[in-house]
Amino acid sequence: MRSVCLCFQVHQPFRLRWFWPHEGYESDSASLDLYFDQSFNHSVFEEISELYIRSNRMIHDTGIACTFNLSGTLFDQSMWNPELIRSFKKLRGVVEFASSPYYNSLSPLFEEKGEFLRQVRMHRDALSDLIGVRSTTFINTELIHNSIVARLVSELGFSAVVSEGVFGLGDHCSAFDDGVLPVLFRHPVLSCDLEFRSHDTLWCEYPLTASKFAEWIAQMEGNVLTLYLDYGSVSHEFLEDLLHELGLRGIELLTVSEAVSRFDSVFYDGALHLSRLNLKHCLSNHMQHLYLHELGRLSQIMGAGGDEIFGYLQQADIFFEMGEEKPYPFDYAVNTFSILSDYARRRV
Amino acid sequence: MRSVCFYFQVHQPHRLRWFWPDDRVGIDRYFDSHINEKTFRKVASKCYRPTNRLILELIDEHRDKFRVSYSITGTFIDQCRDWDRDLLETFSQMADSGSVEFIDETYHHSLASLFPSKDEFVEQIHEHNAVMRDELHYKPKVFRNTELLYNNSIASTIADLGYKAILAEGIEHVLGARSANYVYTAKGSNLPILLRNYRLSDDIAYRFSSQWWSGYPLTADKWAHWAKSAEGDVVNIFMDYETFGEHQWESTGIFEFLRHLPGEVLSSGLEFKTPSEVVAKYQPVGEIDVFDLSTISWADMERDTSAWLGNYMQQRCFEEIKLLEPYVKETGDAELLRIWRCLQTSDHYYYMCTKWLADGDVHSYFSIHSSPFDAAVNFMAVVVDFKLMVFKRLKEVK
Repeated sequence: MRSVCLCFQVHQPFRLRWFWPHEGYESDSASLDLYFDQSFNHSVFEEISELYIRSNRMIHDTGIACTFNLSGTLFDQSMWNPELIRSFKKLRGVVEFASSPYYNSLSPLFEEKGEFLRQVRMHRDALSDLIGVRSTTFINTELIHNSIVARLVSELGFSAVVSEGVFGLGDHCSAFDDGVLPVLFRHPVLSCDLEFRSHDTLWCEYPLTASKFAEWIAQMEGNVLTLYLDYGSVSHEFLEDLLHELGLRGIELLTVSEAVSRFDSVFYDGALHLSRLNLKHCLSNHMQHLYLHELGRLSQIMGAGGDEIFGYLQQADIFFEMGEEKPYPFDYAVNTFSILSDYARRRV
Repeated sequence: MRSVCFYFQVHQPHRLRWFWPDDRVGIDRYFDSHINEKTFRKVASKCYRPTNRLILELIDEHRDKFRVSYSITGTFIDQCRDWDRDLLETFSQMADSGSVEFIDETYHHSLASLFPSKDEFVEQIHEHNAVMRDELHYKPKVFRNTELLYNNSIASTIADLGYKAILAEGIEHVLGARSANYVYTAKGSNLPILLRNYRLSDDIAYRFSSQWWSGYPLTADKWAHWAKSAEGDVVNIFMDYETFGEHQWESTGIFEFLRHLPGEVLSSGLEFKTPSEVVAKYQPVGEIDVFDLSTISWADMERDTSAWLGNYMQQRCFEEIKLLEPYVKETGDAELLRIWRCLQTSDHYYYMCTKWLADGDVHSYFSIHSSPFDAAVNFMAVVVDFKLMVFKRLKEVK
């Protein structure tokens, strides 16, 4: 392998609160405090933002080239710690900042694409206002990619996309061309090794050291290996070691736009219906499908009138919690539907 | 023992369909008339028609001596009107016989008695009263609430409406050392109460065909002997009418039991009384005091409201429906009002009950017993859609 394109999702959701219908009727208007557990969200953010700042400092000092997908909800939560934005801003020139739908939403799956476009524009504007960069790379929520998304983001002026690699069709360790845009396919197995399995003491490869991981990559064929994972899931010590180990093996770290301009892209002729783990974790059951349908219906009713709360109600994270491997998916779904209906009744 | 008082609950709910928002309108948007008709026809042929025929024969045979009482829910009558007018006619014949007393309840077999304001509860009682007048030309004088839900304020609402008596569950923790086999009065309103003798009732309704039971096989003379030997004025035998032929299949011998029951009861020296005859004949012997927050019912082991409102899903769904009241009424839309009332039927909440899932690792039960959870999610899906309909309509009328 000649290079690695390391991409991080940096996201904190607004988690819903335990809501009772009477609270909705007692409130004159919809508000963040009515539907979201702001004190919990705040306390999680306080802790995690310090961790992000420490990792950012290391990236700044070592000059690791990587690509960030900072979510809009993270921007919104940064009001609780403005230092976080400053710390990302200092990384300009070292790292690349990618665009995505502002609310980490599943709006790209709505039939009407207006809400999706609104959120992508919002996010691009926020990147330019807060970080001071003009993004050219697009990383969709849950790496959703298809021909409609490709056309829309190309029309918006993006010149590269990161999506999910299809496991079993050979390793997509190259830059590809989907007919509209250059695409980097994430390597799902190695990304998940780093993000999840490295913390699993029962995993046969535990403990995963940076040198072991770098050696796996070195053994692989190709131009560029793409990894996409949560920023909070790897320690900055590991990252520092990984940079060193990859360097020893002559493997370079590249940002997405560097990778697509450096290597000729190979034409991709597979099916263009891609998403992280096939959305198994957020669209597998009736509750999740119905919730998506109701969001789409509401989006249609409201047209361009969608606000911040409607954005937060679309977060992919809400769908995860309705997954049947979660502890209380049904209670969670009933609660979520109750919140959605309180919001919706005010918008009809 | 001197008297026995039989009371049967006749009920079919309007079940919800597996909801997905589509182009359907009105009641069919939410309710599954196909499954409702199928169920109704099945239970009608196994239970309602043969049992009514038998009851009418027994009334003929024993003239005025065999007397029973019924409450028939409005949702059941809706279904008779749609699919089996003849069945309704047999209930009419019972009303004409003079041997059968019909009892009022809420039209929709609802949980409206648990709303903080009793207005909706009272409206649904009036609705039931009207359908009894229209279909059976009968004016009920006794009340029984959905699944025998009972507390002091329900009793006083019923007393204010002029009813002569109310039915309730005979529970030890309410009775103390006293027996259910007497007439009591409600604390505060002095409304006479008939308490169910759950042992002698469940001997027929639940244990009839249980081979593990020491009383098995139960014969009419054995049961009559037990009833006669019990201490008190009256044994109140209340049960689902579906006991005959549906809960206890014909092959268990339940119809033979019923056929011989009047003769055996009468020859043991007991007399049949209907609820209003019981309160006319026997003086109350004490007071029953049930606080509103300790509401009792005949459901499950707990005999409280936990069968319908025991978990958070049930409580949320109920609160959603309860709080829609002023908005639904403000629309003035009769169809929305009817749908809203059908969503109050207790059965929907009963389907969401998770009590029967053992404690411990509930998680592992999810895949095999998903139905109460599916029921809750489906109900809430209906709520989301219906609420939107109501507020849309409200905006149109304003």
